[in-house]
Amino acid sequence: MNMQNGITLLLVFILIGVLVNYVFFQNETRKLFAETQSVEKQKLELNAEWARLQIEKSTLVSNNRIEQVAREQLGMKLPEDEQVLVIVR
Amino acid sequence: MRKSQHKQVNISLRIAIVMAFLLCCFVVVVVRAFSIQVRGAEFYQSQGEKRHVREVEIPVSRGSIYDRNGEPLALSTAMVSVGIVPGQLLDQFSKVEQLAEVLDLNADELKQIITSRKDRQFLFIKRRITPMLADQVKALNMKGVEFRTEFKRFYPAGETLANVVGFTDVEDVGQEGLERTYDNWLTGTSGKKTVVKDLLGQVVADIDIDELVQAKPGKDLHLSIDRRLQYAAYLGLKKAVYKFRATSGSAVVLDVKTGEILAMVNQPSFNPNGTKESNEGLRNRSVTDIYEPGSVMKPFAVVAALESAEYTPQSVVNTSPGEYEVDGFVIHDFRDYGELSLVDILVKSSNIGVAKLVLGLGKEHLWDVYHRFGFGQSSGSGFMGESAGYLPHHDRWRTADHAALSRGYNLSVTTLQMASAYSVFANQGRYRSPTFIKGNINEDKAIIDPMIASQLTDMLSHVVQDNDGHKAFIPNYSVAGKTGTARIAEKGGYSDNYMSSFVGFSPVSSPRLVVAVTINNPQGDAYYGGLVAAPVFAEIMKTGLRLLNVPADQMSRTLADSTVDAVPLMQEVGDVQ
Repeated sequence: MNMQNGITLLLVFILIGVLVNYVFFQNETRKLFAETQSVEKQKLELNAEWARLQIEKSTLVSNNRIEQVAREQLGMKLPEDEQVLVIVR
Repeated sequence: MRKSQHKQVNISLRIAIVMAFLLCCFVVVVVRAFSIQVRGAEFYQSQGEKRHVREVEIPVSRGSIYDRNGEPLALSTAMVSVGIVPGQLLDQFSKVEQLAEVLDLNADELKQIITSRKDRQFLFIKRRITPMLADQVKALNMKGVEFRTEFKRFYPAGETLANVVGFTDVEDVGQEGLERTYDNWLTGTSGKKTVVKDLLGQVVADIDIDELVQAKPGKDLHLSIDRRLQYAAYLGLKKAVYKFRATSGSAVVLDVKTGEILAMVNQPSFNPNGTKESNEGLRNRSVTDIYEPGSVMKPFAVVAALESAEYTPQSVVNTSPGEYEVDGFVIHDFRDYGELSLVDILVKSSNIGVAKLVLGLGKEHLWDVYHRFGFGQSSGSGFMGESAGYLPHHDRWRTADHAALSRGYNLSVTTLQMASAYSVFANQGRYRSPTFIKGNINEDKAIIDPMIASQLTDMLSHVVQDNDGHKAFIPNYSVAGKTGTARIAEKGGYSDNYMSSFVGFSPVSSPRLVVAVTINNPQGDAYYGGLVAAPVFAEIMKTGLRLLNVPADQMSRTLADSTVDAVPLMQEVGDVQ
C-alpha cells in the first residue's frame, strides 16, 4: 500500500515535470520560430538590398558612363589608327 | 419547528419546478451543442481555421540574365505593391487623401474607385513601388491597406540589347525576345505553406515543416553576348543609321569557333526600363526581318562553280560588253569589265560574271549549295519569332530566276543567316548553328570541301585588299568579306530604295569573328554597301578583335620598323601613366 502510494506520488511528480517541460519547450519553440521569422525577413531584406546594389553597380559600370568619364574627366581617347604599333616578338 | 415542516412541502414542489426548468435549459443546451458539434462541425471548423490557419504564398524571383562575362543584363528586384480592401476604407476618406498624395494618385478618382467597388476583396492601386516609398505608406497606418511583394525587372544594358533580351509584362511573364524564348527556364514557381496567424495577423507557427508547394526560384541565364562588344556594335550601327538617315539596321557578331552570338544589335531600339511608346523598336530585326541580300550572295554562287570542278579561282569568264541578256532580261555590270577571273568577279562584283558561272551548272546544284549554307531554313538559334527566310525550290526557277539568284535576288535571308553562312568559309567549310547561350555550342557539320572554303577565304580577302581604300579595311588585320547593295522590292518591281550590307571575317590567317551588317534604306547619294555598311563592319570588327585580344596577322607598322615614330608615341603613353 505504501509502495503503491510511493509510485503514484512519483508518477505525479514525473507528470508535473513533463508538463512543465512541455510548456517550457513550447515557449522555446515559439521564441525560435519568431527568430527564424525575423531572420527570414532579414534575408529578404538583404536580398532586396543586394539586388538594389547590383543595379546600382551596373548603372555605375555601364559602358555609357565609363566612356563619358574616360573621355570627359580623364581626357582619354581611343588611339588613332596611325598611333597603333604592333610589337613583334 | 412546525412552521418549518409546513413549509417543507412547498419547498419540494419548488425544487421540482426549478429542476424541471433547469432540465429544459439543459436539453436546449444539449440540442444546441449537438447541432454545433455534430451537424455544423465542418462549417465551424473551417471558419475557425480561416481565421487562424492561412496558406501564405512564398514569392520567388525570376532568374537573372547575364552576359558571357557575368555582367547583369536583366535583374529582378523586390518591390512593394500596394493594394486596398475598399470596404474598410469607406469611413476614412481623410486618410485616403493622404494615401493618394504619398502614392501620387488622384484622390478623387481613388475615392470613386473605393465607393464603386466596395464589395471587392482586394485590388491593387499602385504596383511596384520602392521599399522606401512603401515605408511612407506604412507610416500612415491605415486599416484596409495591404502590401504584397512583387518583382520588377531591370535591364542595365538599356537600349543596346533591348530587342534581343526582350522584356516581361506586369505579371513577370516574358513577352518578347529571349525573355519570351526562355520564359520557362527563367520563371520560378512560387511556393505555398500553411501557417498559424494570431489576431494581429502575425505568423505564429509553421504547421508543416515541409512547404505545401516548394518554392523554386527561376534559373539564371548566361548569354553568349559580350556586353562591351554589344555596346560598341550598337554605337557603331546607331551612328551609321543616323548619318545616312536609314530606316533601320542590324548587325551580328559571331564567334567563328563556337557559333556563339557575341553581339546582335538593331536600330531602331527602345528603352526597356521605360514605357514602350511605339512598336517600331521591339523587333529583333537581325533574326525576324528578311531581305533580298544582293551581291553578298555571290560567293555562294562561286562555291557552286568551284564544286563543279569546271572552274578554278583563276578560270577566266568574259563579261564584255557589260550587258548580257538572259531569257528576255538584261543583266548589267557597273561597266564593261572585259575578261575576269573568278577572283576578280568577286572583287568587281560582276553580275554578268556570276550569271554566266551558274547558268552553265544545273539549277538544282545552285539550290543545293544555298540550301546547305542554311538559306530558307531557320538558323537553329531557337530565338522565338525567328524567320527562316525564303529560298524557292529549283523546280520553280525560270532561267531568269536562276541568274537572279546568283546575284542575291529572288531569295530572302536574315542578317543572322548571312553571318552563319559566311562563318562556313572561316570555319574550314563547316556549318554550325548559332547560339545565344554561353557554352551551348551546336555540333558543326562539313558542308563544303575545306579546300573550297580556303579558296573562297582567299578570294574574299582580295575583295578588301584589291579595292583601294576599301572601307572594310582595318589596320594590322587581314579582312575577308563582301559588300552588297540590293534594291528593295516593292509591289510590281524594285524601288529606288536600297539595302546596303557587308559580311566578312577577320583575321584571314585564323578567322575569329564574323560580322554581318545590314542597313536598310540609307538616304542621300551614298547607298552602296561599301560606303554605308563596310565602315560599320570595320568599326565593330576592330573593337571586337581588340576586346578579344586577337593577335594581329598583317602588321602595317610595327615597333621594329618605325622606331623613329615610336619614341614620341611611347612617351605620350608614358605621360598618361
